[in-house]
Amino acid sequence: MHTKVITLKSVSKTYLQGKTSIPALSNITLTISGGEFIAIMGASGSGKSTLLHVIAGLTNPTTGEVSLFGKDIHHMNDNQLTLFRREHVGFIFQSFNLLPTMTALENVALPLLIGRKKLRDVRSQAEAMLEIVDLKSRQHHRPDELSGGQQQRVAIARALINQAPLLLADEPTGNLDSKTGEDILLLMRELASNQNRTIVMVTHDPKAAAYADKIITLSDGQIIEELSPLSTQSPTLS
Amino acid sequence: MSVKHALLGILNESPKHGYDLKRAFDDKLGDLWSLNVGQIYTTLERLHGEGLVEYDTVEQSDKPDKKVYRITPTGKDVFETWRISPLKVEPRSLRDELFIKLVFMGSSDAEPILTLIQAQYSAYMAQMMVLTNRKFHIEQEAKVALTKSTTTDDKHRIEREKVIKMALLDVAIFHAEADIRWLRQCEVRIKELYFKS
Ligand SMILES: Nc1ncnc2c1ncn2[C@@H]1O[C@H](COP(=O)(O)OP(=O)(O)OP(=O)(O)O)[C@@H](O)[C@H]1O
Ligand SMILES: [Mg+2]
Repeated sequence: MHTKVITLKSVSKTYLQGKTSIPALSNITLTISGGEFIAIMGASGSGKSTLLHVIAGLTNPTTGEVSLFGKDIHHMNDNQLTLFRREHVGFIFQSFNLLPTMTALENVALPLLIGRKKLRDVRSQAEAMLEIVDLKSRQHHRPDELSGGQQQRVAIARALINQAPLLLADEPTGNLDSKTGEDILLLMRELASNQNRTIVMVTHDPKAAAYADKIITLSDGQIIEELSPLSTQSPTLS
Repeated sequence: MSVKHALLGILNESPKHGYDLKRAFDDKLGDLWSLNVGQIYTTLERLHGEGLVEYDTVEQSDKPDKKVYRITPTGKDVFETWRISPLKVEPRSLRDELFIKLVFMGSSDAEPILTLIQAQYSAYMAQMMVLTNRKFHIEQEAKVALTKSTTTDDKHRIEREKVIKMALLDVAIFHAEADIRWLRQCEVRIKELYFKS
């Protein structure tokens, strides 16, 4: 149950922009266990997306070590990493990253299609995912024919379809109205609590972050706070 | 908060003695509001004095007699009127204890007040996590109950009870959110005041 899913040891990331260097992450050490739901908060530019990308192996850290499920991902070659990610990680990007020429259904099915499966074999699975995010009626629309919140929900369905044990989500509810957002958050909470899936979610919204087991706050690329509920007893307002 | 009206509302459903009243109160509102038996009896005495409730004394063989309270017609009127009246709007933040601390903020050093704001933020955020966790469990319990229920009446009752519990938690969460936003805003203003070169 309490396997270590994510381990970061003294991770720093510095971007070079011409001659200036931008320290996006400095000296992050962090362990996240199986079934934990973690929220990452912090001001714009504090390094949240960078942290998520480093965890996913989409960006290499400048120094430090990252391992996922006990594997040192930044020393895998591109092929190994792609295969490993496909099996272990679902990613919801801040900018959705949907393929513009594909329909909602095809976008959702994409992680399975990359695994060389045929669309007709995975269609029902993709439809079921679209059903979960309440978008079945839009399955044949292309991204430019969908609203921002609908595109976001397609991205969520796509991240969930391969049933990856680790879900990384960058502002997954940012464009959603409060009821739709709440449904997605309850779903994520359920995946973590009932299916032992590990979730790391970036958010600016305290209400969304409150669904997590722990809130990690970043400031200038450093962890400044790790917060869990004070106790398990029921709260009392006087 | 109005203990008086909550108790009237419970007695409006059926007569109860003090201890049953507390149990019904905890069941409906206990997630957010803890009330001791003493407060219940004081309130009942007051309601009795105002003619809003009356009681029968029931003899018990092995224990002292107990009073079973029921709502009077006047009590029903008062409750019904209260139930549909909007609240008086009061300027909440002006009574906020933290605001009073802010008023006495030193003029030389920002650190103590920034530390206080951060600690207060963490407390509200932690409370929001506890409340949200309750919401998740209510959602899960309702799901389980719905799969077990057979009649439409049953299903509707489960959904209705869920909606009431959720509404109560939502309002507490939205208040915590307002406090959190206010704290963040204060923090930005104070940093600007002290650290602007
Ligand atoms: N590819 C890049 N090249 C250069 N600098 C970058 C790059 N990506 C991010 N940065 C810089 O690194 C810092 C952290 O960026 P990051 O995207 O992680 O912030 P964030 O916390 O996700 O912010 P937001 O809430 O606005 O999404 C910023 O100062 C940003 O300008
Ligand atoms: Mg970002």
